[in-house]
Amino acid sequence: MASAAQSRIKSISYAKYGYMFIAPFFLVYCFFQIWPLIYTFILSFKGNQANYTQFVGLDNYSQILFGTGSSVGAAGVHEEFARALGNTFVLWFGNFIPQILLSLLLAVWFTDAKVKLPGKGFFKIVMYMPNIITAASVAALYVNLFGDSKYYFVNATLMKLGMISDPVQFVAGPTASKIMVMFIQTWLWFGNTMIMLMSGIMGISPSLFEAADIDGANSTQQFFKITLPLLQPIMVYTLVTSMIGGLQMFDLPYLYHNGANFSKQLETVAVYIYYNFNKGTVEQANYGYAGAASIIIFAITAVLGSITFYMNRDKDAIAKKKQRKKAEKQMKAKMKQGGLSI
Amino acid sequence: MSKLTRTLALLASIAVVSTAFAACGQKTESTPTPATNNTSSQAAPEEGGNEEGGNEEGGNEESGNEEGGNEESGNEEGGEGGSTTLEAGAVNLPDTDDTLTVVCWTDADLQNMFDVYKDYSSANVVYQNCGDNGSAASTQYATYLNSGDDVDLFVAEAGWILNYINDDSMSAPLSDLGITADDYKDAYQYTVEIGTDNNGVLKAASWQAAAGGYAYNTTLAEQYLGVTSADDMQAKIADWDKFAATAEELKTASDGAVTMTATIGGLWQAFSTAKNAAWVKDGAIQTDVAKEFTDMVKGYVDNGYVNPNVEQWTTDWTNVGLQGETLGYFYSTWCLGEGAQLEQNGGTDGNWNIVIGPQEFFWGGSWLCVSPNCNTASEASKFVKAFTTDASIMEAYALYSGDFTNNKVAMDKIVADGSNSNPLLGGQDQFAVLSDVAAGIKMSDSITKYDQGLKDTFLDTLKKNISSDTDTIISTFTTQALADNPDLTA
Repeated sequence: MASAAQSRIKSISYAKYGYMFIAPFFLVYCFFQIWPLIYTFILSFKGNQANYTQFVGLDNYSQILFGTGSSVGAAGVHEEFARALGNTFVLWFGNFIPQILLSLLLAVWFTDAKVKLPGKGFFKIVMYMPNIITAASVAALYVNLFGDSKYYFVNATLMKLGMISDPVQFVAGPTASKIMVMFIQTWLWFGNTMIMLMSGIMGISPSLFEAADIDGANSTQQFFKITLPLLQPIMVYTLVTSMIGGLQMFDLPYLYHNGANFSKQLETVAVYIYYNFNKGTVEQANYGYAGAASIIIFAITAVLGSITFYMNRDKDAIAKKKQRKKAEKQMKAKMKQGGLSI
Repeated sequence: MSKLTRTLALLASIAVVSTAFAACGQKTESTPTPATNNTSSQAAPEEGGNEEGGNEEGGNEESGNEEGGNEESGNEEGGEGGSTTLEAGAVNLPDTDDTLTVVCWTDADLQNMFDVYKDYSSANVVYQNCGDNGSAASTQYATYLNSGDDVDLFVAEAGWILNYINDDSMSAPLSDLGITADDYKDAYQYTVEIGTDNNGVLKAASWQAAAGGYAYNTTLAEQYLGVTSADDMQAKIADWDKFAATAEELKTASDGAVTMTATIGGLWQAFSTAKNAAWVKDGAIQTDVAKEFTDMVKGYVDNGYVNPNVEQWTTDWTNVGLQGETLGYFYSTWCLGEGAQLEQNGGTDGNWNIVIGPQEFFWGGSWLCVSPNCNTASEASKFVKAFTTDASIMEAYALYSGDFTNNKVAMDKIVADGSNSNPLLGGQDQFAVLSDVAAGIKMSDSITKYDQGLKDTFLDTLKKNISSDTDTIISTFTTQALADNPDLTA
């Protein structure tokens, strides 16, 4: 027999305790994430240096994107941003393509049942290892190995061996330093991508590979007809995360330099933002440019992300959905005709 | 049961929220007051000295141990070690605190000062590092000074001092400590001019005059140039034409193995500061000096007198000196003390000498400024007076630290007495060489708040494009400089 209280309360909602539990996170999130995000938008519409409180509308955007606007240096602003954006893409492509090829190859080898590779676990750990070193240490390591003058290991060795007569500018040289950063980024991240791809490959049912074997498919055919198509979701994930990471690339380009100032030839958009934001006192910093550049890179990321998703959507599922809708329409049309179908 | 769940949920939420916010709060509190950076020159005079709470406790205890018993704690005026008695001026700021806090990034300088100051005063002086170099300090000061943490005095550098002394919320006039421009009759005048803000109010005082010179390796000079004395060396590089001629001679004699000087950065300092030309005039970037310098340096690089790939203040910069691949460096006085740049770059054998070089120049310099939140006014007044006006203390400091102090009387006395001999320079007295240079420093018309940034951009552009022609280099620089500083015009 239900008590009076039980009959009065039809159901008890525990939802509010759930909200209580997640409230702290959301409070902190709003303070430290949402508000700074909104504030970046606001800053991008305000002036630079001494005019940082003044509302200037889209002036920063027009200076950065088209080199026209209120400041006499607008052309230079545009030039610098364009260079930073170019560097960002060059550095991203230059490390992403070798990285994904290398990781894919290693992932296939490590997961192939026919290849009996001894010490797989050891290799996996060794290859993942660079990823756990902080970028600061990595930059320090490479700057000290590949320093520009003959006092540094690589140049000294190459010169001793007679392969070069003058030291190569691995750090300050415009092309060599870019190649170095691409190489370091690849070295840092291929292990991580490899683990990701391996988990994707291991998720593919082994029976598919067995069936292909029995049908006489060679390993190239298996790779292109089975592994790659079924790996697509993981590939999309890798592509999107790497793209976001690549467009926001900051640490190595900023840290890989001699002397006190970062290298202009490695300046990415993230470095551009940091540099303009952090140029001294409030009256010396360019908050407007930094804000506008942040918003632009955000927009680029959003557009590229959408394109990636669009290109990699499940075409079969969409086609099926379309068919189903078509069929439904036909059914409805039939019903309207009052069942007088011939 | 449900009451229990509810209570638990509430407690958990409160705990999480408070941890989150406590973490933030602690961060702002602890950043400026890391215990390791906290040092103190003298024991706290009384128990009352601890009223600021936990922050200072470490410092006080530490110094208490170092000093042992401190008998003269009640006698703050009397310095038993020095001949002078410190007197505070008529102060116009509160005097409620016992600890004089100096915010800086140059802890080594401050430590030297405190070591000397101990002999004159028993005041409790501590320094607080804010950033580990001048440019970091220039950005972090603004936050620190507004944070409400104890700050009585702060140190500012030539490159950006104008940002702080022209802002009344950051700095107070020295007259609030009873110090006026009349106290600086013996000082090098440029330090007073720079310490004066746009409204003509004296806001900062410097303890040093950063005269510079050309330090060269005597062994190499004798080997390749046959030069045996500093006077002969000076005669060979007395102006830029002679400097280049000597560089050519050195190159031929050494078969290109030894460069005349280590870096373009050093050359720029020597070349530009003596011109007393501002980077920015009426809001427009001035490139005349930069153009002249570019013309000169392009020739130097083409002829191998300087290696453009060596960056100022890097390992390469140190190495060329250690390996005997450069004849000399352009140094400021603060490079010549024990453990400073001269020693790091190979000066340990005493086979270096310093001469004035092709042009009299200067490099950097730091000023003491008063915070409007100063609450130790009389002690602050004594400290500023001691290191910027008191000849005997400044003499002691110069001899102790090797720094060229901002007091003509003190420096003249050292030179006349011959009391300074620098073992790194083979016993040479750097003050004797540089005292004329210090007297000739003019900086007041030429410093602007854009200096550090424009100089960095210019030297970077120059090094990257050294093979382009001068006009291209200058226009590349101007484009970049305007992009960095939308306030300016070409």
